[in-house]
Amino acid sequence: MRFGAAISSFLLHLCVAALVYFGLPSFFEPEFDMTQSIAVEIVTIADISNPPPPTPAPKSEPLDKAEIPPPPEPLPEPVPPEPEAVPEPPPPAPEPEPEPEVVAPLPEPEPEVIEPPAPPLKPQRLAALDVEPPPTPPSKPEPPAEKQQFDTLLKDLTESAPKPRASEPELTQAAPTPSTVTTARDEPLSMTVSDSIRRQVEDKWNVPAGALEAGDLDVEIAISLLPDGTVRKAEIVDRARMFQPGEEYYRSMAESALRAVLQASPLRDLPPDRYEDWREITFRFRPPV
Amino acid sequence: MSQMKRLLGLVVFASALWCAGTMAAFAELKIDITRGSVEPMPIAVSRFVGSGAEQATGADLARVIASDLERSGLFSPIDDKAFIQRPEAIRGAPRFGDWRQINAEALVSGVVERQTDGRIKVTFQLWDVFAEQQMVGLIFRAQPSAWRRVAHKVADQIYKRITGENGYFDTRIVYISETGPATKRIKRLAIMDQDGENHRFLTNGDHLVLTPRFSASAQEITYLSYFQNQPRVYILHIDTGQQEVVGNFPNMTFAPRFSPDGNKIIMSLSKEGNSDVYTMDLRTRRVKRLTDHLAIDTSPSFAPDERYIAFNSDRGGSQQIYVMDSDGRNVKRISFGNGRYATPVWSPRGDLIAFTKMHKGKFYIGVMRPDGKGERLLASGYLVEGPTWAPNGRVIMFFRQTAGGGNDPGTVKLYSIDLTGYNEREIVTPAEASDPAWSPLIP
Repeated sequence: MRFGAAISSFLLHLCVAALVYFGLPSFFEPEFDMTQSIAVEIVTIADISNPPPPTPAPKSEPLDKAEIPPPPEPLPEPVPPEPEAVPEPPPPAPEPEPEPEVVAPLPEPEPEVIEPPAPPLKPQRLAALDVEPPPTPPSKPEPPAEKQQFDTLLKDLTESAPKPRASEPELTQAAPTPSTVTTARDEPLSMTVSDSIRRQVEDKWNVPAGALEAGDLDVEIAISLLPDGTVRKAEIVDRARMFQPGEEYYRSMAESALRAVLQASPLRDLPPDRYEDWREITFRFRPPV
Repeated sequence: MSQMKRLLGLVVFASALWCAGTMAAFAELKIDITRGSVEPMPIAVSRFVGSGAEQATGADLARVIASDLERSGLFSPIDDKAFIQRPEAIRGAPRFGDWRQINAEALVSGVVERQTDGRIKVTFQLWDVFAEQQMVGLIFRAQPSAWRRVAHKVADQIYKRITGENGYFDTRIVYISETGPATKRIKRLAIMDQDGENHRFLTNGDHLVLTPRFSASAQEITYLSYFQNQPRVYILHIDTGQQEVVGNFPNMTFAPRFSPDGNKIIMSLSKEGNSDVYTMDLRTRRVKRLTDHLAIDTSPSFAPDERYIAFNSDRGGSQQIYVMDSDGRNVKRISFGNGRYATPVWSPRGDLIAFTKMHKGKFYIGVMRPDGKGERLLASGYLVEGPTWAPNGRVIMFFRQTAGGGNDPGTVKLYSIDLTGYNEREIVTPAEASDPAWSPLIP
């Protein structure tokens, strides 16, 4: 009897122990799952506050354009010919002028066919029409920057994944860069505001294809805005570099950047009470790395 | 002493404070722009103003300029029906607001006049519509019949001023025109302007001709002809029609190409089933052997600085691209991808080598850097071959043959594609066409 009780007690304990051993863990399993590491992506605030990449919108709605008031302070460029204007690049420019003095006659492959020999084309620089300002003295050399890669923009049939066509070309869907924003005040302008400004300018920037593989091409555009967001003045900061020989890509970049800023005028969604904070903006255009 | 120190510390602290204050006052909002798009630039090409007979010329000029720009893929000319300001009203002072309203970013205006000496004077101006200033202004003078070249030169100027790259519109293309059935194919040398105009044949089709290439002056063509059933390299002077054989070799010579300075021809010479790369100096007629290998070495192409030569060889077991010094030393293989590589062509800019690649029964046109890195495939097809560079090194022309099948023998046509890989265009020719060669800018 006692022996039987001992046996049944032993069995019962065994059962309980087995139950605890095999059964309980399954209750806790979900909890173990919970403790598995969760992928956390650390992003800067600017990334989060960035508006999502736009669906390729039509370049701009005509209405917008129509609203662009003429800049109150027109660029001091005399539209009528300026007699004393100087040819844009300094004389030692490497480019030969569009054409040597006289063009050799167009080659005539079939001599038996009588055709007037091709006429000489003699282009000449329109000194009187050229309103480009004379080159200013060389500016400080830009520090060599790391080579920009535009591979995202270039098609390669080796890759099976279809890349965005040029018609829907968001340059940096792959690599969004956090915006660099600093303000004068203790409380910085809200990220949303500067991101919104950034987005408005990016929407208008058409990167010159010629500059795709060129290296150090950062361009700074300094603008001042009217309280209604209209671009009152926009300047290429390192303007002198544009007229140096061999800087044709920089000039294309600088001009495209200037166009982007002017096209974005008037900038929208600016807090009126913080006018002092956004009255002066410096944009740094750099092709995506 | 310690008082001094304390005073100094105070001064430093104060000046630091002051600095911080002024910095803050001058600091401004800085925003990085790192995204953009690559879209064709909307450009308005206004009819060039002319009176009398020049009125039609003015319209023709604008049409040819706009179509040159459009074909480049970098510009999208705006339909002139949308223009608000009339050409006559521009006269050196566009109303920029009118052009902004139709989304033009750049504007081309011009005037064409007849001079007393019978020539035409074409004045053109390129305007930045948003910056509201002239970007370039030039005058060209020419015989009225040369208006097309004037238009191409104007387009070259616009392209160059806006993209920073040299233009390539005032160029010509020589190619092999193909007619007749496959068994009785007639191949003729033909030449035309880059836009397909002014087409004409240079040979009559009595002999098979292949692989034409331009000289640096665009005045001569070197090519392979089977004259009297003997394949030899010839030079043809385009303006005189004169032909000469390059060196009197007892064996077959093929795959010729001019050196960039135009003084040498580089080609393959075949002897007893083996071929090697040779150059011949056109002035001294001296022949120099550059490779000496049992393998087949062919398709040589000089780098623009003439310091290196790219060629293809099967010395490694399969056809691959090699680069060597111009004296034949330091042979290095540069192609290491899958498949076979052939017909390397060095870009006039020197930064890339175009090639044909065969892989898994398909042909590709691609580019790689001279060190073999950065390979990208731009175009593909059943058969694509014969890459040739536009003089600015941004566009490649090639030919593509379709597979055909049954009664369809397939067709062969010319195409161009730019380095981004997106802008592929057919080059329309009167008959079927292969083996194109792009001229340098016509002097």
